Amino acid sequence: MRRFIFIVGLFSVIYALSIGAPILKAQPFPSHPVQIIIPMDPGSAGDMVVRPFADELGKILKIPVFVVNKPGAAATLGTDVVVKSKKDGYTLLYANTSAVVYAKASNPEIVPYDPAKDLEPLGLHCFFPLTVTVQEGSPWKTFGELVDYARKNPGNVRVSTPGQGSIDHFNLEIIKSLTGTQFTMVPFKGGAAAITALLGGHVDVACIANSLSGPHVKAGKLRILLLTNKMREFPSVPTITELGYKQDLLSAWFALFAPAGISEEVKKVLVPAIEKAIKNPELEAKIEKLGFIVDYKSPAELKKIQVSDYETARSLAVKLGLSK
Amino acid sequence: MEIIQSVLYGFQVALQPLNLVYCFVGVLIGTLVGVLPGLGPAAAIALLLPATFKVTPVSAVIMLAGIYYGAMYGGSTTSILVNIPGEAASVVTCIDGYQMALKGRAGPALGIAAFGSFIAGTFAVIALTFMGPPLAGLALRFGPPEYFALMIVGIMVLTYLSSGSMIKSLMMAAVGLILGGIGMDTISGKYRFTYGIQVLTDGVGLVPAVMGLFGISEVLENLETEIKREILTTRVKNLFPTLKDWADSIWSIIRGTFLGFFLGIIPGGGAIVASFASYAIEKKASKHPEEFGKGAIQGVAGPEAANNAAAGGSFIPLLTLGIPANAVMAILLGALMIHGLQPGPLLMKQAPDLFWGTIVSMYIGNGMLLVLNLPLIPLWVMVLRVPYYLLYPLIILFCMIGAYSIGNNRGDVMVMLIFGIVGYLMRKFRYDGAPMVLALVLGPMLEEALRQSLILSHGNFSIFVSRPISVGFLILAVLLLIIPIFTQRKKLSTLEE
Repeated sequence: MRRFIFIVGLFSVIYALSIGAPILKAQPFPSHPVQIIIPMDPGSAGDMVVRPFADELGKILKIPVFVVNKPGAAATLGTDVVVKSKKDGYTLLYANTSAVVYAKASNPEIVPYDPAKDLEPLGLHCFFPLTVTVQEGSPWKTFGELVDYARKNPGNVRVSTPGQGSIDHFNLEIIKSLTGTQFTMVPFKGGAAAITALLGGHVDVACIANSLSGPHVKAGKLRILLLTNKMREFPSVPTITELGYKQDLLSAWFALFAPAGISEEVKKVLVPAIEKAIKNPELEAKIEKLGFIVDYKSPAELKKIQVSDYETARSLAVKLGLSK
Repeated sequence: MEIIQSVLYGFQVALQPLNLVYCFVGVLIGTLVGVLPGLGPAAAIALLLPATFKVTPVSAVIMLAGIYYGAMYGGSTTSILVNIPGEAASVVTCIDGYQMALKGRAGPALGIAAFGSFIAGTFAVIALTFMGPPLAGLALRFGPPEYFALMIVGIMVLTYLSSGSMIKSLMMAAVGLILGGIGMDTISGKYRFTYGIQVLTDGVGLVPAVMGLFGISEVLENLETEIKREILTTRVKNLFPTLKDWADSIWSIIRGTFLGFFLGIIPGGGAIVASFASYAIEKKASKHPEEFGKGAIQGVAGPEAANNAAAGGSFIPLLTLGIPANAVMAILLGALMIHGLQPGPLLMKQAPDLFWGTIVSMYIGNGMLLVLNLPLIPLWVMVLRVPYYLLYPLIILFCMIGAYSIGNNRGDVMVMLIFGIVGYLMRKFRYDGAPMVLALVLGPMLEEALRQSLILSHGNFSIFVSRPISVGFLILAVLLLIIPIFTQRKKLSTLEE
C-alpha cells in the first residue's frame, strides 16, 4: 500500500513539473523553434524559396526555424493544418496564391477554411512572374501577332497550362476576354508537364511560370511574349497593360501567414523580423536568381492584394463554370 | 573522340577526394532511405538540400544523384526480406523475391538484385554518356497521344501479371482503375469520389497503398500461422547467387535494362511501369512460367535491373534538356537552380565539370553501391533469424513511420492500414494485388492522356493513328492481345495430337 502511494505521488510530481514548467516560464516569444508549413511538394518553386528564407528568419529571431512540407489538394491540405493549429505564433504558413486565393475561388465548398477570415497576413515575400511563352521557331514574334493569328483561326491555337483552375488558366481567360480570341486550353498536371508539351511541339503556347520557362529562353529554345510583372532580365517583353489593355493579369506570389487570432505581442515580433529577412540583400539576390521578383508588401497591403485577387478570381470562376 | 576526352575530364572531377566522399555519403544515405519503407529519395533529397548550400554545385549534385540511385538499390532489400516494398518501384520484387526468401534463398535473391542493379545502372550511365542528347529529343516527342498508346500497352501487360484465375486478376484491375479515379481530375478541375476526406483529394496514395497491400497484409497473414522459415546455414556459398542462378538471370537482366532505360527517359513513365513490364516480359519469355509467383529468380533480376536502368535514364532529360522526368528530377532541377545553374541544353557547355563530373560519379557510385550491398547480404539474412514475434512489431512501426514521412500526413497511415486489411482479405480469397497496383498507376494516366489528346484534336480520334510513335505502340498493344490466341491454339492442337 505504501509503495502504491509512493508511486502515485512520484507520478503526480512528475506530471505537475511537466505541465507546470512551461506555464511558469513566461518567456518572450519566440522561446522555442518555429515551424513554417509549406503546402507544396519538396522541390517545387515555393520549396526552393522558403528554405533559404527560413534560414535567414532563424538568424534574425535567434531560434531555429524549420520547414515542413505538407503538400496536397492544391495546397489546401497544409493550409488547413495551419488554420487549425495553435494560435501561438509557432506555426506559420508559407502560402502560394493557390492556397489562399485560387483553390477557394474554384471550389469554395471543398476548401474547409476561409482565407480572408482564418488567416492573418504577415507579409508578402515575392512575386512569381507568369508568362505566355512560345517556341523559338514559332511564327509569332510579339504578343500582338499571336492575338491576330488567334482571331483569324479561332480554336486552332493550343495553349498548355498547369491545370484547370490554376492561376495561368485564369490569366488565359482574362486574355481571351480582353482580346476577343478563342484559344484551346489543354490542362496538364503541373508546370513541368505543361512546358514539356511546348518544348515537344504538342501545343503552340504555354501559360506558365517564368521560373520554368526562363532557362529555356536563355538557351534559345523558347520565346516569352508576355509577362505579368516587368522583369529586368527581359526588358523587351511587355506586360499586358503596357500594350494598352485595361485589365491587368493576375500574378502569383508567395506570402507568410499565421492562423487568425494570434496575439499582438507575437505579431509585433514576427512582422518586423519577416520584413527584415525578406529585405536582406543576399537572400534577395539568391531568390531573384531563381526567377522571382522580391517585393516586400506589409500585412495591410498583402490583405488588400489577397482580397482583390480573390474577387477577380471568384467572378471569373463563376463565369467559366468552374464553380457555381 | 571528343566524348572520351570529356569522360576523362569527368573522371578528373569525380575522383577528387571531396567528391568521392560526397558520392559515398550520397549512396549510403540513398541505400538507407531505400531500405526504410515509405521514405523515398525525393523526401531525403529535399531534406538534405540545405546542407548542400555551402558546397560547390558539383559536389551537391553528385551527392543528391547518389541518393536517388542508391535508393533504387536499397528498395529491393525489404521487398525480398519481409515483402514490404521500400517504394513503389520495388513492388514487383516482392512477388518472387519474398517467395525466394521463404524458401531460404534470400541471399541469392539479394545478390542477384544487387548485381542486376549494378549492370543496369552502369549500362544506363554509359548510354547516357554516348546517346544522351538524341535520346532526350526522342523523349520530347511523347505528347498526350503517345502517352495514351503507351498506357494501352501497359494495360495489355497487366494480363500477363496474373498468376491465378484470369477473371480475378481482371476484377482486381477494374478495382484499381476505379481507385485511380479518386481525387482531383486534371482536365476538369473537379474532385471525384473524395467525399470530403482530405487525404483523398490527391487520390489514393500509391506508396501507402502498396505498403499496406503487400507489407501489412503479409504481417497480418503471418500472425495467423506459425511460419517455419528455412534459414540456410550462413556458409558464404549459399548466400550468393549460384552459377545456375546467373545463367538463368542474365537475359532477364539484359532485357530489364533496356526496357527500364527507355521507359525511364520518358517523362512520367519511369521505374514503376518499367518494373511491372519487365516482370511480365520475363514471365512470357520463361520456359517455366508456372514458377513465377513461387520464387523464380528471373522475377527478381529483371524488374530490379529495370528500375535501376530507369533511374539512370531519367537523368537524361534533366541533364540534356532541363526537363524533369519525375519528382526526384524536379527537385534536382530546383537544386541546380538554387546553385545558380541553368539546366537545359546549355548546361553541358556552361558547366562541363558538373555535367561530366556527375555522369562519371554515377559509374563510381554504382560500383560503390555494389561493394556496399554485397557484404551486407549476410547481415540482412540474419534479420530473418529474428523470431517473428519480435520482428513484426518493428515492421509495423517502420511502415507507419514510413507512411507518415511521405507527406507528414496522418491520413497516409490510415490509407496504408486500410489497404493492409483489404490486402489480407484478398489473400484469404486468393485475389492478386499486382494487377490492382498497375491499374491504379496506369488508369489515371491513361484517362488524362486520352482526354488531353482529344482536346488537342478537337474530338477527332484519328490523332492516335496519325502520329508514328502512337501508332507503333497501338499496334504493339494489338499484337500483345492477339498473339496469345495463336499460341494457345497451337498448344491445344499439339495436346490433342
